[in-house]
Amino acid sequence: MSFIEARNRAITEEMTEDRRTILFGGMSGPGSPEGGFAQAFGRDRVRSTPISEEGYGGAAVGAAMAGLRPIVSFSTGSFMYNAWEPVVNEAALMRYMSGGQMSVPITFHFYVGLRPGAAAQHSQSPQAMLCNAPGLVVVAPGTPAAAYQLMRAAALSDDPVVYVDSLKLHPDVGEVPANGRPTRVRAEVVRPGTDVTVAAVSVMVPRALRVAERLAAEGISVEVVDPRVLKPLDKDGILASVARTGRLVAADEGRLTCGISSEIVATVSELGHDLLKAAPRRVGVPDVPSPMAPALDAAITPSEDRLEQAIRATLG
Amino acid sequence: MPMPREQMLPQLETMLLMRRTEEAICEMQEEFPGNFHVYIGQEATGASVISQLTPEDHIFTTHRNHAHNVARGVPPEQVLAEILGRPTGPSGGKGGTFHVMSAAHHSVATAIVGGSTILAGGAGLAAQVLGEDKIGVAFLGDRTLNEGAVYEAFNLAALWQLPVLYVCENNVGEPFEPRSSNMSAGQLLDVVRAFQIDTEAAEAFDPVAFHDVAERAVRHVRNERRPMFLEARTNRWPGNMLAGDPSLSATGPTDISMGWSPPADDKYEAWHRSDPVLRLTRAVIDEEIADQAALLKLDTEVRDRIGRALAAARAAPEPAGESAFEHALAGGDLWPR
Repeated sequence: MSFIEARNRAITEEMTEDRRTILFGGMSGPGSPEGGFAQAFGRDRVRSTPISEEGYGGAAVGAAMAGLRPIVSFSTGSFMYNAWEPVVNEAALMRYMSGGQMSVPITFHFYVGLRPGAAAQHSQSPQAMLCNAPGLVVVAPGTPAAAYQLMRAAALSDDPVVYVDSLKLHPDVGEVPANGRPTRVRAEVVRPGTDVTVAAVSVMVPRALRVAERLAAEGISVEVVDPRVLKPLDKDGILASVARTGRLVAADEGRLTCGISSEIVATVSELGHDLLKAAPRRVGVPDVPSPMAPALDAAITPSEDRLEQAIRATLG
Repeated sequence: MPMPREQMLPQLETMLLMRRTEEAICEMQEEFPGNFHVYIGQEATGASVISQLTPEDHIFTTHRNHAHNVARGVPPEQVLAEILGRPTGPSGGKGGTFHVMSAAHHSVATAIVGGSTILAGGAGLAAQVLGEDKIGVAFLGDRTLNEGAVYEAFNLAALWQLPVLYVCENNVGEPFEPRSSNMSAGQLLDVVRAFQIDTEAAEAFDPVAFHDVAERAVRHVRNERRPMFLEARTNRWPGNMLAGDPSLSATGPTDISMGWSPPADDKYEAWHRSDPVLRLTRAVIDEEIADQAALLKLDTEVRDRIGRALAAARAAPEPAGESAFEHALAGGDLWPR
């Protein structure tokens, strides 16, 4: 099953099993590949929205406080910035400000990452910024199985969950678990190895798997760990892998400074310094905006080659 | 219809609870950090609108939330404890004056200007999708219309025909200082009407007359299942308070006997003339529902209750430091910790 089929199967199951689940925003827009939800579940529960991210994001938060369990898509991550207020100031804070009285069970969805041709304003990656906003759970699937499980877990959660999607992953094919909501989500070893841990997020997971295959031919054994939940980070799961390998490369297609890979490296350095045989490395996007031209995009993409270089660097 | 006779005394008691709670907040203002925002002078609006709601309706109030909560039935004891940052407050001291709220009362307080408007439409959406007859109510101030989020909320509510009532409390500014709404439009309603939202505007100084306005507005939204914007022209004193602001002490705590015997040469005559608590006190006397002695007794009971509530809040311990780490997330085993 493909990544996009797995994600949509999870949404379909949620919509079927729970009448409180509604879907709106860019993912359900007419003409979008996901438009089939409206035919299946009706315009009452599947709504196309005006171009009002703050307005419909806020309405979804209010609806979540009044009995619904919305899935809201802002389409491109860049548009999420227009909805910062309801996401980081309302949904994220309500449980805390109310001393635990109130829940906002909602899933915020958007696409992140570099896309050739999108240029700077349609390719933002706000996952690290959102991890810095207390009160949110942030998840990022890198495989079809995770695409399915994380969407179902998000729907089960009583916390607001940010679901970080990547269009580049949609064609990927893999095994997907049978129908059901996972009750426990942790970092996952997607390929076991003994020499280097690559903690790979979202689109970096398939890249890391291909690099691991390449290096295996040279006798280098790479363990690929998908954190799956960026916040709260599964520290134990990542440390357990580093305990096996003694080396760490953290990879995310977001900006490096204060990024997801920075947080993973900081966590391992702080809690597992004596596990490390070499300095950990980060792979991410340099601190420049996203350029339009494909040749320029290639210059800043955390590619398989760049990931491979980082892995080799930890091996000395 | 104007306020029915039998509701006048209970409504006066509610408004006295609102007023005396906030006077207590002013009294204890140096005992908690930060600034706060009182509602004194606007009580007719919140008391009237909230009296028309069912327990299932959802209200979304603002940084000026204390009296809305009291009108909604949140005990003043809890309101004062929360504002003092005590564990006995509904949010255990995590919300304070900005976020007095109660899930049991479907009362939410967001202190981001415009936040109440985007959230309240969602309560209307939930009612629409679930086939319930509840409504959402947003309280907002006139300057909230400076925020762009409000227009997204209006457009969505009208487009989707969401049952939501926007209660805009417009401090018209008399008698103490002119206040501007910072709007290029001369009339607030002109802006709202462009969204095909039903509107109404009324003075909210007289609780008996305003009751009619509020009753019709809530009934309209509940029956027609569409948004409505109600501009309540109000007055407020002392207004936004920073610790040490002398404005309350300028008028002093409310003396309800001014309701039946206005003082001569009153420096604050314009204020007292628009005070909804004094107006309703007067109406109760004029309608011969209660006499002066009965009203003074009622007021004493309210003040005694608030006095005890204040003492209890002061006597409660500070929250344990470790509670700062609770309630960021729901907990449980679904996600890593």
